[in-house]
Amino acid sequence: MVAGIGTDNRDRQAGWVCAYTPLEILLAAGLEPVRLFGSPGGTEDADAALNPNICPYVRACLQQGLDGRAPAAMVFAGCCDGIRRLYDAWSYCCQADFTFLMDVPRASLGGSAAMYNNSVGRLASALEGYTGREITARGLRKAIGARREVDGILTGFSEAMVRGYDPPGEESLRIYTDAQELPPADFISRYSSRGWGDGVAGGRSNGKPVVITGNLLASGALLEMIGDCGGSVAALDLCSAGRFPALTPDTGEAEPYPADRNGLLSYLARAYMSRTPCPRMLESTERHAHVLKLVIDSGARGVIYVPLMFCDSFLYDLPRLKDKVDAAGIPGLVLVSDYRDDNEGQMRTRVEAFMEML
Amino acid sequence: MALTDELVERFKASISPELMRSRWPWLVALALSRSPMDRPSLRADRVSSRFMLESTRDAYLGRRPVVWSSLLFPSELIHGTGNIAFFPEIAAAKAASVGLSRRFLDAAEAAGFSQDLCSFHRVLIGAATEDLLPHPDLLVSSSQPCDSSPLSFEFLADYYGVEHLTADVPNENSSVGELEILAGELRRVALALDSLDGATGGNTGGLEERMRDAVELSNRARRFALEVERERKRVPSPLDGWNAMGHLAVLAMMPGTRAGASFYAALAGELKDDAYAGLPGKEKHRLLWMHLKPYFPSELETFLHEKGAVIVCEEYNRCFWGEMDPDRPFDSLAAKAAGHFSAGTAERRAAEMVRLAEEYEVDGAVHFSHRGCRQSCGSAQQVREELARVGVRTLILDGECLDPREHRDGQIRTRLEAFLETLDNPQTVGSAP
Repeated sequence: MVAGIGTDNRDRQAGWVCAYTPLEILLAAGLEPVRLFGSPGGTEDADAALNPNICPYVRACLQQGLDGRAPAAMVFAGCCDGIRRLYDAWSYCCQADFTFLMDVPRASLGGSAAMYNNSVGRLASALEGYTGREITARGLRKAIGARREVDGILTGFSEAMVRGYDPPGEESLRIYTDAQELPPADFISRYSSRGWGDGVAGGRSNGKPVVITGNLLASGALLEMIGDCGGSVAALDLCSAGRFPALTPDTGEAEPYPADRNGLLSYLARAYMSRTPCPRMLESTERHAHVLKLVIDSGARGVIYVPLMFCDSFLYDLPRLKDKVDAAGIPGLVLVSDYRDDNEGQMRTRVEAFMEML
Repeated sequence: MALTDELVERFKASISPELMRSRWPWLVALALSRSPMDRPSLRADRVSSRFMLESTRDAYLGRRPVVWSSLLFPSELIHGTGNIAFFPEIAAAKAASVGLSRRFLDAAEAAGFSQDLCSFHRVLIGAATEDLLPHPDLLVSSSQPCDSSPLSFEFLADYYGVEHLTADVPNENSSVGELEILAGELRRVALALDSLDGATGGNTGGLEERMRDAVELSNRARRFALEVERERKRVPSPLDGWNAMGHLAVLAMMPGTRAGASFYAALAGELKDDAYAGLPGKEKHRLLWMHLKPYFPSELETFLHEKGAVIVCEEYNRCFWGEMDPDRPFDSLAAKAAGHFSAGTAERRAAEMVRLAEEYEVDGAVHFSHRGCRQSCGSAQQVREELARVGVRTLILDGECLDPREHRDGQIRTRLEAFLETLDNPQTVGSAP
């Protein structure tokens, strides 16, 4: 689960935990952005430092930091109370050379966008201070180019899944995880020549297609289970999967951003604020429409909701989203996740029953 | 069950949307609040009770546009634009205090809201789905102190089919640029509020002028509130914090009104008055109380009194902002919003608690860790360690503010008792049990 992080490259990496972190700035500062997925075992130390009622992903990440298995620099996009408290605990308890907390507003327009823009600018300045390396327009353009290529590959993969490409469960999660853990060049060399079929070549198995929506999964166990129970995952609407790409893919047309440093930073701020919204954002209509579109486009017969336990952002949104999906005649199954997958038996029973019902 | 208890239960069961929107219960409630039968321990409480009753009545009867506000959104904007401010989180606490929270929690859970969410917001959502709250014309929220307000308000705005405006308060109040952005957002909200029906409360001036008046009234309230805080630093303390936590409703709802200034003036005068009897019993321990308390009936208040433990300062019930400039109302209100310790890091909160502990000369602190509150519970440990550095022991007390099903009175009493015993023994070093 911490595959991308090693003691030999800890100093040149920058850890991040929320998809509203503009990774291109980290790259332009000469750092390798690596998403934390948390320590796989128990979180007793983190529970004591935070509180057991905090999101289990946050606690797993803190445990990783307390175990000394995290990058020396950490950037926290302050998107929720859990991550803000993670920043606090990290600064207080972990051995970090650099920590930064970004303001992430809840709306993408008006003053909120300006606030995020300011926050992006402050992050760039702070990283320059930490690395001693100037973030130049050239560096930003190179980073944006690389990330657009990564996001393009991921978008192609997600679209292929919706059309019917049906990789084994673990494999479908792996590509997204690699995009968040590997340097862009490594990711591109690994995946750029891979084909996902045209919706026929991979072909959906005979499984019943379902859309998964939630935060992030600790492993591919649920996806494997869905396959075992006669299902087929048509879309992974997770912040660590289908919602992860932030930049529009390169279509060979003129670059959609200006040439100067401030213009590039503003471009990134706009791109991240206007990405497919997370439930924390107030653009719920857009988010609900996005989930419904995934259902319709893929012909999904059901939706599996996988909120993380104690995730206020998802749990407040869930009743409305589910009502809308139910109203479209699509049944749903709610599986609240403790980010450990240690209740496999119970989960399998519920998934089996849901698949049979479909 | 005693006859009076049964009557109360029958009345609670009879509460319906029609009843809440009829005049007579409000006539009765206001008459009772003016009668000699209603004798609050503090005369100032009459001022706040009357304001809140009249304001809530007007909201239910739809006498002016109703604006729902989250706890820390600057109330001056709502009063300055002549609208009725309704604070549903405060209403939720009130519902719990009269034993209604369980009914609304059940309703929220039936609507699909997880028991892991904050019970303040589950109660208000449940009450809304039973149509027992005044209908809003607009909802306004701020991003501090926690995620729950903007998130639950987003559901409620959709539910009522009205707009929800939220102000993102920056985490670092040192950035002038971000405060300017926030001031601009508050002006945008004020314009939306002002467009609801143009009610001006007798002031026919423009928006700037009315906001200036509201800020001046808020400044007046603040000056008296600081006098109250000065009085409360006395040893022994003249005011019991368990009840004073109810004044958080005043602090949230009433700045920007004449009644707000009158309340704090009356309270300051009362505490200074030689005739004021103060608290009965001996003050054995002076406590700082962090976060909030159980609002449903419990024996904890009596227990603390019996042990001579007096809450002399409450984290939330304090004037947290500076004097405002009435000529720059939006800049001032932006600074006020960002001035709250919750708009920032745990380091800021801990420093604030250390300052309070020292100023109020407390010998112990209690962090009431409300089950659904991530922002507060998540920094409790850090706050405890910082207080320990200045010799103040802290008890982290896991509990529930509004959900009586999750409350364990005996367990809490046992932990409090053990904690108070450690305060009796100053030789004991280290953290609390």
